[in-house]
Amino acid sequence: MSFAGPLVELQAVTKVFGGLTAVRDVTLSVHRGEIVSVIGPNGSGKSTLFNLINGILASTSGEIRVFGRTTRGLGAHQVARLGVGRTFQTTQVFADKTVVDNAMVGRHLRVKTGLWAAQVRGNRFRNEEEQHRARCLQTLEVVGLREHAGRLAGQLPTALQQRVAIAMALAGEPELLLLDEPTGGLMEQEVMELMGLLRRIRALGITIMLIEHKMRLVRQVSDRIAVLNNGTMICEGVPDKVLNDQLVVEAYLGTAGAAAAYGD
Amino acid sequence: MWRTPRSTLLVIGGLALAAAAPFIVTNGYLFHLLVMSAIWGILATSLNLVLGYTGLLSLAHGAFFGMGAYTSALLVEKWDWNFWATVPPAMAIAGLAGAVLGVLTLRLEGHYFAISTLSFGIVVSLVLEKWDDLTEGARGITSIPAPDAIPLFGLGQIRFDSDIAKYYLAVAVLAICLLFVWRLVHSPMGRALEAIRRNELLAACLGIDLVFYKLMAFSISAAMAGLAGVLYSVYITYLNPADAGFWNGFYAVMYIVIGGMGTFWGPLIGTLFLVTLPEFLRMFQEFRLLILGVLLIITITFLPDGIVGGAKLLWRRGTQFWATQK
Repeated sequence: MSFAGPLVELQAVTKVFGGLTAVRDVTLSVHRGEIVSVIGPNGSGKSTLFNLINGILASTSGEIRVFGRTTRGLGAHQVARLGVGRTFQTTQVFADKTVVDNAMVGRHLRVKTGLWAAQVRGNRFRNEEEQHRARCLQTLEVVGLREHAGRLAGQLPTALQQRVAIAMALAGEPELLLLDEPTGGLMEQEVMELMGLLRRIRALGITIMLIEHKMRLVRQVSDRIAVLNNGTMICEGVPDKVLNDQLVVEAYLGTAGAAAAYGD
Repeated sequence: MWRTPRSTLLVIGGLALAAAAPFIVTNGYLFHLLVMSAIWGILATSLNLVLGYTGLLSLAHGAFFGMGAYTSALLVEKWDWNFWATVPPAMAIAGLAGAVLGVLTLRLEGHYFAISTLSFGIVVSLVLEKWDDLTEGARGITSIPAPDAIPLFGLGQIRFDSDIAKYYLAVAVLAICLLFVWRLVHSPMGRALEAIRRNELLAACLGIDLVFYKLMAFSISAAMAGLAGVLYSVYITYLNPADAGFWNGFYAVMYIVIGGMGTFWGPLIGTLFLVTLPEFLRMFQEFRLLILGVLLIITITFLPDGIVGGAKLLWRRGTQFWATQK
């Protein structure tokens, strides 16, 4: 499937929780091959936006299209099957399973063997399992976890667990990857490595949406940046334009902190 | 684990032990407990698929068990069916009940799900009690015949009148159920179920259809519970509505918790342990339930993965210890 239009199209999307408008009237398109960062202060609606795109939440109003298809009425697993992978702000892995088995769970949406084939255990079943495992090992290669394939995910340090989460999302061969703060808890050196990983993933032809706080990373990898503040998109465009926008600087860094943080 | 030699040896050893048991256990009552262990073992194994692997606390399994038992017994007694022909409909009715209950309740979370399955169990035993014309009500169904003999064309026949024959039948069905569950949990579906138990949100985001897999697991498990009920009916030869009540389901939960939730052998080991234990606690007759209760609390507090989890831990510690000694 090669869809030519924007992979993600948000049309005046609004999400209201009770009396709180978490996302207000956001319109945004993401095109194939782009890395688009979503930034903004804590509580500005970034994660909610991701939850709306991948079907965890349903929007209150507005239209969300993924690969040209409306996601209205679709659940998270159905959006995943359209080709959308995601990770979470708090790293989520299956801690008591090995790294490669984590990837195998992520591979699930590509698996076609049913209950009957698993009972009969013919050659086809074995071959398919072997093939999926081989693909998962390739995915681990991409994220740099090949050597840790047999270790329990829960025993890895934070930086590597974050990669397990990315590997799980990648194992399903998505066309669009939503990464929610992949640098959370990472050291400077690890952030640089992650930047390399993001570029490798893009080189595979995968489009990336990224929620991030580390400004240097955002500036260097993003093709475009969207800025949320109190649920409203206050600015959108190429990094140089957005990060120098006075409104953004004030909203995101605060007038006082602006000058200091520019060194980041 | 099935393919590694050590496990293969364990399986062969277990089967040999099960085959030799009637000749070792000569005490009639203990043998009875062994047959019951095989039957409850099937029920516990079926429930483990839902409770252990998928993480759903179902209290309706006593009802599925009873539905299977009643379906088979009624078809044999009132419609003169051949026993073997009653097995598929008995499993189908239990499985279908599981599917319908699942559609209605699987969207509920945690306690709400458990409570609705509990109510379902109560409703089923009430229906069995009040639908007098069909089920003989509280009097129950008596003198259920043994399974029909299987002709061996010219070589005589396999008869199931004796308790020993029924024991072998129960063990054979248990073995088939274990193999079925083993293959299921070591397949893509098993991975999906375990992912659902560990983290529903993550599982959904990875493309796993929560409702579909829960429903599948629940229906399959219910059908297997029904199968256990069928064996129960021909072994005990008497059914009453209490057999479909929630106690059987509660006991099965206890067997799994003590044996090791979500472990493959846990339910069977927990069943063997808890079904035969009261026999060894006979001198403490009045305190039996008390002892069981304390045991349950100790297990949940200190051994969340039950006997099997504890044994694995000991094994790891032991091998580590030996490794450091060398």
